[in-house]
Amino acid sequence: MAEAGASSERLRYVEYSGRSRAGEPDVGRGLAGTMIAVGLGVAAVAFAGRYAFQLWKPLEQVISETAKKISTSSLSSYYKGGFEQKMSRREASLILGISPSASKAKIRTAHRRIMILNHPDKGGSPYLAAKINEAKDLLESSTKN
Amino acid sequence: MSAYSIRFAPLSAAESRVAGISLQEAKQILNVSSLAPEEIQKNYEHLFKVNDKSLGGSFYVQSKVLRAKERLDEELRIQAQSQKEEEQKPEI
Repeated sequence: MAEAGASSERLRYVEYSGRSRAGEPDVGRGLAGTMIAVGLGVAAVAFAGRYAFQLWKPLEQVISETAKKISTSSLSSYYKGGFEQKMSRREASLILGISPSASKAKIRTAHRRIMILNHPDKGGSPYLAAKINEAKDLLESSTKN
Repeated sequence: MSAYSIRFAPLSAAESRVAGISLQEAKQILNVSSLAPEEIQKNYEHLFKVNDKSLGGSFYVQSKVLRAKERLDEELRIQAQSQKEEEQKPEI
């Protein structure tokens, strides 16, 4: 018991003193290296900041455009690409905004709602209307409820 | 593929997909026959608005409307670019 206590005390001593010991030469070197790296980092940021001030005007536009892109892409994350070549059940459920396992009643309600919004007679696109109808047909034919 | 087509920016055929959507599908989605900017903008704004998720619309459909608009914008940009190159070509 006493031995264990003494040896753990010795280990603690090595930790706190920070002095290099035989078999552990990295402790001191590591600390110095880290400080140099931090100092260089601060210097780099300072230089970059100084140049940024000099080139502020053109940068400002780039920054605002990037900010706009980031905000719209991360907050809204619109789906990418066009429609699938052959409509899947997954896509059909996304088009109608319902779960793929929705009941027939829910499918019909969702279809009516989306179709009213996208009706070709009210300025909607015939292509989109066809896709919405296709989505409804696909889900209705494959649902069990 | 000839060296000529590799060197210059590709003029997109109606079927070629850029960012996963073809020019033809983009035109169909926005219900435009030509690449008239005013018509594109008008149809886009209407379709984007009616499919607003907070108003009961489909976010998926709204996304496709957005991607179609982006594709048509890209097509217009490519056309303007190639037109500029045409004008800069030396007369023979």
